[in-house]
Amino acid sequence: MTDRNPTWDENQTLLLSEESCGSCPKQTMGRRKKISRFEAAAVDRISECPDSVLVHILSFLSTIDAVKTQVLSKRWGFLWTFLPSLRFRSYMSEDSDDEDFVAEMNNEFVVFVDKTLSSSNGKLKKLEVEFEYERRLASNVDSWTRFAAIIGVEELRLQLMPLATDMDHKVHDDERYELPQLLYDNSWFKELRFSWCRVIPKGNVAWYFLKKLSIESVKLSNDVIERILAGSPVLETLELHFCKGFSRLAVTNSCMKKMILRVCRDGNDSEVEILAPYLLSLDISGCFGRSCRFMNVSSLVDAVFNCGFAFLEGDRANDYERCQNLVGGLLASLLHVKNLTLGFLYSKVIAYIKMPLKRVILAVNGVLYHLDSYLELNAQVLSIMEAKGLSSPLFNCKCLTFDTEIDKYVLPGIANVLKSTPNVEALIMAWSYNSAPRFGIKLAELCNYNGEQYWTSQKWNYKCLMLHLKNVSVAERLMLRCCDSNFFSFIQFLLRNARVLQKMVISKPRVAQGKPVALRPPPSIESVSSLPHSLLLHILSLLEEIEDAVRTQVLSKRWRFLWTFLPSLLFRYSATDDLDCDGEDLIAARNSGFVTFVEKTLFSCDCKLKKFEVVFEYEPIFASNVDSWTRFTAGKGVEELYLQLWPADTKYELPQLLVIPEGNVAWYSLKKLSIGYVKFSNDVIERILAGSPVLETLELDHWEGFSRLAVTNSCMKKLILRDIWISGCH
Amino acid sequence: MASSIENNNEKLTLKSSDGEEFLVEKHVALQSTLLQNMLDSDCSSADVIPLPKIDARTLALVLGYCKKHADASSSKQGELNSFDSEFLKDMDMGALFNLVLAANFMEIKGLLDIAAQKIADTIKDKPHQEVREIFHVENDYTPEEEAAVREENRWAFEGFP
Repeated sequence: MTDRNPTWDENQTLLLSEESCGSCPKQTMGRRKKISRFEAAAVDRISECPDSVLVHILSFLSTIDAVKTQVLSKRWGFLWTFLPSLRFRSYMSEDSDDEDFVAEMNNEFVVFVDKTLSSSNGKLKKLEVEFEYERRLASNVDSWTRFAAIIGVEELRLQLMPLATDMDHKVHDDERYELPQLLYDNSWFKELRFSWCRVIPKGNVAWYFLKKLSIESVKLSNDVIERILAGSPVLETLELHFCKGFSRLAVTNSCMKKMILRVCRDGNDSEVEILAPYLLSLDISGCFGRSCRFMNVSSLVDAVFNCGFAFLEGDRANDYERCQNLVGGLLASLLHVKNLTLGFLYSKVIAYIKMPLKRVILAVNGVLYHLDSYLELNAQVLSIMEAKGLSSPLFNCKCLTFDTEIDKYVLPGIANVLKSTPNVEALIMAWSYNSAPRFGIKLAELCNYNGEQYWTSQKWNYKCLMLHLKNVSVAERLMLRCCDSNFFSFIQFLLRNARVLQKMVISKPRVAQGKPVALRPPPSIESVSSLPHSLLLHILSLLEEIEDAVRTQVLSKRWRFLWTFLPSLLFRYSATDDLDCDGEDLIAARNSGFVTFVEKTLFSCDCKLKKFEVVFEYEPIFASNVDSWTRFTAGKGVEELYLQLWPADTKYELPQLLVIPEGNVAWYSLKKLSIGYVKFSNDVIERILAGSPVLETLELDHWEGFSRLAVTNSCMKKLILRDIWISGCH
Repeated sequence: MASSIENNNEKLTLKSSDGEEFLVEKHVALQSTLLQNMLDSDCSSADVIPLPKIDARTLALVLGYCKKHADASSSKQGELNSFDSEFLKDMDMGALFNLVLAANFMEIKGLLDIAAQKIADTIKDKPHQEVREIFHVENDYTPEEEAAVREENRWAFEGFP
């Protein structure tokens, strides 16, 4: 068998690699085989990609999977070392209490990281390490961070949750990894993330190019925060997740655009003061101790405030009042914000409040108020604002969003909001999964009414329904969630009372599969494009002319490359055929058009080409072209080759690759040979016959130049001779 | 001999996607390589064989073809050929596509070939716009892209608008 690895000469610019080659000696194919050969050919497409693309692909894998690809082939052996980012993660299963086992796992992990880092080539841009840290491994982690700092890693993430915790699952400071001081002075870093580490800079911090900093579960003092902020002049995003120990966040850096705080209660008396005059976006959630104050957040455009405050059990009345004041104060300082989302989640607040309204987004001329709360609180906040001379946000509200289930508990809340939004024009009902939790028992006591009859029992005239509400839309998810009588009675109520309603859109929930669809007959196939590739290819292969197949590429994108998978390419062309007068220039031009076409087609042919046929009026100037085709087909493993190159002036000589007149012929799998209009010597015939041990059919047509034909091959079954000029055959 | 006749009269039930059942003689079913393999691999012929991809109308056509070919002896090749060419005559494209899919699924090579050939004949020598219309191919090229593709293999498009 011939070697099918890419073996062409310098004439050809095209380099194809075809690693898997399963062509076997031609055999009578069973019915099954014949059909399946139209299926997608098993070509190693991925190795055709350039290195850069492969590395890019690898970068989507976990580092361990990427490193594993080195066994694929030699070429893959070193690809992974060019990965610009490495992520090492090791998770212990929750119940791995066996300390020896955990230690063993960690040892393996550390060895793997060590090895991988040392063979990584110097282009590393991102390093991420996440594992359950043990104190004994400090020197290893030190060496990784030092490595990262020295080679210029731009993004460093360390998530080193200590393995050792005390009885209360508290982590002792000694068990945490302490960042080496050298990390604090680094001008490569653009993004840093530290979790569970100790962040204690002894001197100044110098992160001159740091854009994003994220610190999680770390104790920070006011002093550390000040140093970090002072040493990070271009910092844009700061995230602090569950960090304790500070009471003041003075972000005066002018680049700082975004801050995300996930706070946790740090003793009941703690207060947090936030000063961030340039901040555009702020997202705070969690539970504050006593209070949170915004000193200056005058640039804020987006704000999400999703917090609760700690209350003292014994002093409910005071706490309630304090809560109102806090909320009022916060709202007042955030009122200029364009997109404000407020959520008061803290359950102890909720216990005081009577009317349930689980979550309302109130959009007021583009200003989004997000109240996850009970309406009484809502109303009180409004009254606070009115008392302070601020206009009620509800009054101007044009678009109202209910993000809640429609069950009987929220009906009064909805009614109240509708009452206080007299100008609302559009109503959106949705349900996002993060709706607030339920507060069962107390509500049940309060809601002793029948949900279905709630609306008919309402005597109130809703101004918004009378005058303004034009559009209502109900999201699909809500329909799936609560498509029940409460919901429909509300829709009914809207339809009956909204006098100027123009449009109501209720998104149809997708029906679970297998239900009513079966009642309809399957849609008939209208488009040829609905046929599978293999069938389309089969159809294309039945087109007699290759041009017909190639032309299908303009049908649509799917057809664009379909024809390149054809297992046989038949090119037949006669430049003189349909010409009235045979202008030689014209013939030459048309021939060269044909040659270009064959060339292009052949080299864009994608799969294992099995059959290649060329019939045209050959001219000597095309010798090199035909050479390249035949060489190409020889390299591709074509099983059937048919060349008919007729004008007789110059006979085209088969290139050495196919026939070796000087040496021996080696056509070990050849079954059928047909030669016409060729002049060959006895010697050549002998060699051909000697080199074709399984030849079954020999067809000679207009052969000249030989005097003896000795066919001693045992497989030879059929001999066809036509117009042999010189006699002498056996 | 007697047993082989008995065997031939064995029947099996095929069920189309829309739930219609067809009682088929075994030797007719053997025209389909798929069914042949199923029978060979000891699927009891008492069971109903579901063909979830083929609707009743198509299945009836397929079985008509199979019956004709199973019953005709090899000496009547000419008769079969004229049957084949009649078989697809005046068939609309949708039915033809269903048929070619069914033949592909059930591995009936003869039927697959004539149906595919019929589709190929429709494509042949037609300007692509016409092909698009006949086959409802949605053109997702932009005009620029289409021009570029045509230019790529200009030779093949010679004489086609």
